[in-house]
Amino acid sequence: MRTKMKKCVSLLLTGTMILSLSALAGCKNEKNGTVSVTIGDWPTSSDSNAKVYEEYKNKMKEKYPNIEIIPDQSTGNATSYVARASSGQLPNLYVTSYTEIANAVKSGFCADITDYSTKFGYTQSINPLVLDKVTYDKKIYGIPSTAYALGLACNKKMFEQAGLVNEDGSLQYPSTYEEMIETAAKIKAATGQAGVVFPTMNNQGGWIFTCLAWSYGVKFMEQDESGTWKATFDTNECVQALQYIKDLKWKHNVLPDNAFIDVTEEKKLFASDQAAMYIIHPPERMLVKTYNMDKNNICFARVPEGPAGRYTLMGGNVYMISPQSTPEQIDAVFKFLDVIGHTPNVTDETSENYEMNYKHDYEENVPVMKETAFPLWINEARTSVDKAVRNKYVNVPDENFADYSNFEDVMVHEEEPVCAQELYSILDSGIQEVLTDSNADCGAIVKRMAKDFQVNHLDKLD
Amino acid sequence: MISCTDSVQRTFIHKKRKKGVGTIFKQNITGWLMLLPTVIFAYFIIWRPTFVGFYDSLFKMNGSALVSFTGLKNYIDVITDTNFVTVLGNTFKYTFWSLVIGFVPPVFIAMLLNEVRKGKDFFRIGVYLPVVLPGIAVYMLWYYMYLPGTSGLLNTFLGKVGISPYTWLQDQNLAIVWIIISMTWHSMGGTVLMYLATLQGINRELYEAAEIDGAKIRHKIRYIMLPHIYPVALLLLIRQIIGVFQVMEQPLTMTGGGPNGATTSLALLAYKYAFEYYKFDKAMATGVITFLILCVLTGAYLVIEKKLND
Repeated sequence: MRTKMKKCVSLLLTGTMILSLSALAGCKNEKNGTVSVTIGDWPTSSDSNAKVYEEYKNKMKEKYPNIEIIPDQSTGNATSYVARASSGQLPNLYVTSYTEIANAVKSGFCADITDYSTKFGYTQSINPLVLDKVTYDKKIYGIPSTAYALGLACNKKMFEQAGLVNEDGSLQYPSTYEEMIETAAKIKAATGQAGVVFPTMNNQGGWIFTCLAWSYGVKFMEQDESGTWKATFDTNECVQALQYIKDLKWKHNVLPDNAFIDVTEEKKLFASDQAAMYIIHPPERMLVKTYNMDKNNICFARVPEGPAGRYTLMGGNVYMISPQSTPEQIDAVFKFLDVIGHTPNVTDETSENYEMNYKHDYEENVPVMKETAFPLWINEARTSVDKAVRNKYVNVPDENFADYSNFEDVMVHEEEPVCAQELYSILDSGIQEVLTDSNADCGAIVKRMAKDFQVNHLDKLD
Repeated sequence: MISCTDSVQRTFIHKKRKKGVGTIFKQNITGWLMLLPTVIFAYFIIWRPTFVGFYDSLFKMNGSALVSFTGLKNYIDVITDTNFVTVLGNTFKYTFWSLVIGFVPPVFIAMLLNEVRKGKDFFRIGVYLPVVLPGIAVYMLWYYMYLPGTSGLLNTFLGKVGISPYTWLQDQNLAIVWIIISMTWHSMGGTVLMYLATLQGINRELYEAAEIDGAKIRHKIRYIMLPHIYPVALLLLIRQIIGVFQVMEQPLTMTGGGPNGATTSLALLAYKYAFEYYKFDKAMATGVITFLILCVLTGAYLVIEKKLND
């Protein structure tokens, strides 16, 4: 009996060991001087961009034979990234959006790369406004990969159908939110389609709404001397901003019928000529790559102006490094960034590699603008390479983006400092309410939203 | 007071039992070993996560790391959320409507299939087919069918009979009902087959005897079919309550929990805590609250069922 019991226990232990070893097999090793790094957001084989990345991988192998690049096709979208981060399964290099940085830093999902950023010259070369987005307590947690300011995407074909074209051929962009209603109404009358589309779900409605609300003079929160945060948007201005959304639907009828719309749905409607305007950032590659929109029909204007000014929000994507990465792996990741040309230290080789991406976009008919959506680099060597490459591959008319690129009276607003996603979620629900109930009381909704934000989130901040 | 005889008797029984367990284990060692993978699997997939969920919910978490013990603070935070009562109410609404809409049709369809003489396989496959479709695809399909305005499929039908377009999922009062209809369509096939298998296991002689006695179809249903499917129906009732109480995929896909939180369930709230706000501690607490409510509901059901049977 004892022998059999021992056999059982041995079997159990063996099973446990096998399971443990299987788990350990997933860990990275650095034997024989080879450093393995996983690179996230790698294009899938069906993506035409995969060839460019394969070329990057080959160049890495040539230049750094002791670094092994392991492609990882996981994307930086919040859901999959949070799940992987919480289980310690993030790739060494991953891409996420600016709105996720604060939570990623707070949750310990990214490594402190201050020393490396300085060593490789990023700290000195990236636009301080952008660098500030990845800096917390004077420590740098990411390398911005793109930067943009929100603008107003306009469907040229629909504007032309509504006769909203100047004598010189440029579009008659709405300059204010009030004008946006008039423009949308004209387009709706001429085409029968929605003049404008506004997101309402997945926190994206709230995200865009903050931009509109700032233009109405709304301040969402403030911190008092004791450090306590107070919700400050139960105001007339916020009621007016929400009323504006409500009027788009019930008074002017210029929105689509569906009230459940996220940014992906907006793109579909816009690309298929079912909506003429929406607030987003250029160049909107997805409109062409996924929905086959003619790139020449995509135009961008500045965000409209509200009673308190013309406010936009800066956003973009950022490269972050998993906290489990060893110093050797972090070093290897920076070498990879250098090889793909996302580096302040431009050489002929890195410039050539950087160009590959634009060449691919050009060949794929994806919009390449003459100007960047927001200046990412400030060092002359780097910006001049940027300009030269862009000029070589620019494939959309300048005038399609001229209004957007004029930042003269545009004020770039910081994203709300704490609980931004929670705020967006609450604003989403308010927007949905005014779009599904013609009798909704905007004042009461704003009051409730401010109370919910205070009680459920700000009061529970540590 | 325990008598000496009682004590001796108990010791004897205890020893006998102890020996019995050992003997059972010794005699069935192969069986126990075969069971081992399942036990290990259950440990990693069910028991350990359940225990970890309970344990972690008592801590402040930073990402997935435990920071400090906070006792019941996460529970208090979740329960005092101004939307918690609404979300809890929504979850019960899902359960209620799933019983109203989703419990009877499978029984009815199984009875119909049981009576079909020709093309049985065709109808069985037809009923089961939605079950094999991926959930996300099914709910996206229903989402597009429910589109408001004139572009939605259902509104196109309404338009054909002169009825103006309806808002479907945007109707705060009925959005849950429309979601439940799509869930019933998707998952009913499995339940139908279970009822059908039970019905087909009934001895045909009972029907023949009933027919000789002049029984009509309603009598056969009342006195033969229903008593036979009763135990299966009770089991499926618990499964349905447990399953629907954890509804998440459907509102996430079709409404995102809207309009204005009208379709947010407890499971979706936990999802939002974890993946939108990165508050894993509160997500754990919400999961435990759901688990406890289900324990109470299942316990209450078992007590009622026992009383009814007694």
